[in-house]
Amino acid sequence: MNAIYDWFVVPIQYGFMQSALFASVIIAMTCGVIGSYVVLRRLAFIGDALAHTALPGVVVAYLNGWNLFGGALAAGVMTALGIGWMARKSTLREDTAIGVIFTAMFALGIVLMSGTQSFRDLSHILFGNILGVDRTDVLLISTVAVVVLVVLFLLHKEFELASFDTLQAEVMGIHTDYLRTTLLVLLAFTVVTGIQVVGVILTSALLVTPAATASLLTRDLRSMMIYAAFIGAGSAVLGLILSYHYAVSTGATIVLLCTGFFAIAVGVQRIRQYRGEGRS
Amino acid sequence: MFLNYSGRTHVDSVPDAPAIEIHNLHVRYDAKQGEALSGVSVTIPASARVALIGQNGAGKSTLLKTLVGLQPYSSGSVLIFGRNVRACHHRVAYLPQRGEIDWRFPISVRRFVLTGRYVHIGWLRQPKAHDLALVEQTLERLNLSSVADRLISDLSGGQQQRALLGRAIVQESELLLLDEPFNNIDPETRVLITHIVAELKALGRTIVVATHDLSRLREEFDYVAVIHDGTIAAFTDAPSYAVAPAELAL
Repeated sequence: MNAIYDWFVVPIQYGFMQSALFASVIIAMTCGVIGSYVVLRRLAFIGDALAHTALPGVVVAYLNGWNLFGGALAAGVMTALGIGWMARKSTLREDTAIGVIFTAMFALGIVLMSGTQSFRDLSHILFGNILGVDRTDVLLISTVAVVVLVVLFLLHKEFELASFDTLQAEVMGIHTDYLRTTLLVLLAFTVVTGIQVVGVILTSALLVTPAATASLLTRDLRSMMIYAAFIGAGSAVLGLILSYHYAVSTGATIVLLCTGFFAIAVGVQRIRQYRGEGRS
Repeated sequence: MFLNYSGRTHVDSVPDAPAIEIHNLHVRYDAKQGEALSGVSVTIPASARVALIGQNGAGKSTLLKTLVGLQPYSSGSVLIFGRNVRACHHRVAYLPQRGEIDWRFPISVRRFVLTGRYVHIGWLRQPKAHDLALVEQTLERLNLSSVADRLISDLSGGQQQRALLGRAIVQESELLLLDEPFNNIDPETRVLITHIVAELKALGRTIVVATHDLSRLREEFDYVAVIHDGTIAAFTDAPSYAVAPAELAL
């Protein structure tokens, strides 16, 4: 019993692990909540695009000595606004336009990154570096999480309505384009914090996998958000401790745990169907 | 005022104005395509039941969408109770065709119907006891109380149509625009919808129903508007419609 206790507690005695734990739980929970909309509104591709387009923002911030988090945030928000604008104005299909722009932005980020003399300093943007968060990062992450969750709470009924019936929302006088852009900006905020944990490449997993898992366990939106938040948080805590003990990548371990929970949920759903209970 | 979705103060209707007054309305979806509506002019009095009939693609849905402000128009004028469409969000309820909604979204029937109240609730505010009571009363009237906690994805076609009607009813609008509510529903639901439309008329509401069902026009409606090729080909009392060219419809 003591061995299990030690296994969990010993890593958390270190200050950097405490910061990492706090930050990763906050980020994973926020990703789980907004991720429910990402799954239900089929925005996974946009989430991935927002994560990738943060890269040039980070590199430009690094080259100019600015705050990297701020650089990623600026790039993410600009991309979110750009996607919102394209959805209204472009004649191209939205996913095509996003595909063109995000790969170009990511390529630009890599070119800028390879031009610097310190490729290794920036590589954590690609793969995440939750163990490197300091007090300022924790404060920024907490602030972003509070802003995202408060706005999602205040606009819940409008986001919910526009998610399944855009026409009705428009008939009532809601500008659904602006509402969607607001959601994308919140998504950009969330994605930028997610990059700290798992990096640009795996961030969409934090958004999609816990929410997809929750969607298999419940059929109520609010419950789905709560389940997804806790699945994400559980994966973050376990992933952090496992990666400490086995000296492997923290971000990738968290993502694999999320996927493991998803596999368990699929199994539970199959068993329910087999027993003829259906989902409740 | 700023908590209203439209951001405008609600304005009263113009006294004695007709429910709908359309003059020389032109609508074009795309510069390369022809007009979806070309020179529609019609006046619909208040407290009337109007059947809007016509072939597929004739312009029925486009006309209804224009009346609720979903479809911009290139020229002409549209007045609802004497006011501009944009000033009438709270005054017009729209029942879309079932295919316009994502029925797989996880929302209960009760909450789905409640969304009809949002236009009166607005930003940042939550439904009050009066809103919830009205929803329960409407679910009861539509025989949906037993499925109120189920998800909308679990409903039959007729139940979905009743849920849509319920959402339009709780909006307590003076004008209801129903786009093909009789499509693919069971006979009981059809009778129920017809009774409710009659009840709404008795309450002084105006109801426009786009429909392909010509079997009971004279019994169930006060007026018939025939739309053909993007224009109103006839607007007549329902009892007189029997002598009109039926081939324009369907």
